[in-house]
Amino acid sequence: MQLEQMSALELGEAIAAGRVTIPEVVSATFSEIRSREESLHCFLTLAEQSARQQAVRLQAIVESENPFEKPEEGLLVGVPFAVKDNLCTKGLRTTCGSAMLEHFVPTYSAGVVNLLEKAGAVLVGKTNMDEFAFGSTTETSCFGPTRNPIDPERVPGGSSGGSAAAVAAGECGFAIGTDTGGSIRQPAAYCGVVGLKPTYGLVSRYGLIAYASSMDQAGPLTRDVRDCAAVLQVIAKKDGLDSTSVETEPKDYLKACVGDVRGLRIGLADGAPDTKLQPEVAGALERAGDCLREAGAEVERVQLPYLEYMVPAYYTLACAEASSNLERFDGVKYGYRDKTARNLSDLYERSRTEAFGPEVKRRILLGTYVLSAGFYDQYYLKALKARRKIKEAYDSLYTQYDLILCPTAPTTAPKFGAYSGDTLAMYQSDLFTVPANLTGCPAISVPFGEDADGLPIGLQLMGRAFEEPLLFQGAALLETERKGGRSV
Amino acid sequence: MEERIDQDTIQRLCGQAKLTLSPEEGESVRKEIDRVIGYFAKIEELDTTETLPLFSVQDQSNVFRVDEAQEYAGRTEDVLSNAPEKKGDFPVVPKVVS
Repeated sequence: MQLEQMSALELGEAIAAGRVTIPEVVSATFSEIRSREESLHCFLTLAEQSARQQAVRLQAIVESENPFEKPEEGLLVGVPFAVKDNLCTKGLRTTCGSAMLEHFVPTYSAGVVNLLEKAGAVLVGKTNMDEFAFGSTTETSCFGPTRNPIDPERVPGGSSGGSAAAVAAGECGFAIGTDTGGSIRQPAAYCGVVGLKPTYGLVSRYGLIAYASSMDQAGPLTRDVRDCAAVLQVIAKKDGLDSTSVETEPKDYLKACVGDVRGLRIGLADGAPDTKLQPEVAGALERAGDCLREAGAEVERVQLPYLEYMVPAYYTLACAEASSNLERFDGVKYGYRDKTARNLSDLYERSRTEAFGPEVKRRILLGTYVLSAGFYDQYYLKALKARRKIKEAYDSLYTQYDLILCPTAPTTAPKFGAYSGDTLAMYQSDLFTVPANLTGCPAISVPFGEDADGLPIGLQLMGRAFEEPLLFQGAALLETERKGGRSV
Repeated sequence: MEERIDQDTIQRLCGQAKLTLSPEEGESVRKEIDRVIGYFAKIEELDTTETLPLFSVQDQSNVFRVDEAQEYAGRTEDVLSNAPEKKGDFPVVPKVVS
């Protein structure tokens, strides 16, 4: 098998067995990147030199001794990975897809990056994204969009579009994205890969350039469910530098990927009565429900609570937090600075005006409005109360069901420009993904079938906080059905 | 539908957020923001009289670290290398006192 078609775990195994060396794997990865980047544009910055050096160093370790006490700790040794460009990487440019940070070089690495490097994975580069993660297509990146490897006329989704496309195209073994309202799961669905938003607090946010701090989470984008579990195993760790990260009982995520769903209670949800699902997406959802039922799960149709209030509540809170988080970009200590300003206020205003793109300005202004005197109670406080109602309703739903199955997005990947001039339509397409962010619960997107144009369909499983193993159980079953003899 | 956001509001928000919009930009941004805020207002329908706001999904209270000075592992010159303009160990800004 070609190296670029292998899963992260297959690569790790081939390396451990001595069938291929780490420098060979890294070389193959950069050849793949070189051959595909011109048409796809998944990466903003490559780390070829450091990756090659790291490969040589790791290969020497692998050959001389086994540095890992337990074999399961060495599963990702030598596996090339990519990181979304809103996670800091020491000494490697980190732009957030914005002119504001075009030349920003962090002095430290994000918690997730440190953990993966410690586990022996090799960082190959930083992936494209919507500017400051504000978008669903990568079209708001100031460096130009990424194209979907399945169909280059289509968007890869966003905001972690570069990460999803890089995994789908075989330009890395796996990638890390971030998800505030669906930014891992929706691009995973559009590109036909697996994407997980972990429970809020399971993975460190240290070094993640904040969008909406109460909802941001980093997580894996991978070729299959087992890879996703293996990456989570490494990055799910309490970090003293992120006070919202949580100490949890160690869990064996890989062991959960057996696809045994017998006895699981699963609620199947197709949206509100007025939700317009693409017919093939609706069909895939029904077939997935049948698969789970045939495999021994109890599947029941369920209405997702407060669905019509989900997107307004989410965007009110996300924009409010974003407007506050982005105050730090003022052109003083780092980032873009206007050269003509005569006083400090002018410096702030010109630097921000010149460096931020239209969607960033829009969200800052929306956030400033809902937080401003006279409107705070009406919008921001109201949305926080709505959030509690939503959270309580989901907590109650999870007493009846172990998992909720629904589409990841109402449609497959749209063409470029589909949302131009219609911000609201773009926001509304996040209907199925924002509940997991508002409630802090985990959710995974798994590819399940294709539409008439051959575009991948993604289905989502949501579950109780810190019950990622149940998500993997369900996702592994759906994946077997997709890969197995049956056509979905 | 009644407009919630007028041009004066947009200008006030820009002042607060330290952003400038040209007159043409101002009008298109106003229209879009007005539409989105109108949509946000849907949550007004929810009865939340007995509901407390939920700021964080976690039940934890403030997490404190021991108040001890620690050596910074990075180098000052690396941090300062990101400053657009600097003098010695400090970033420089336009004169703030006359």
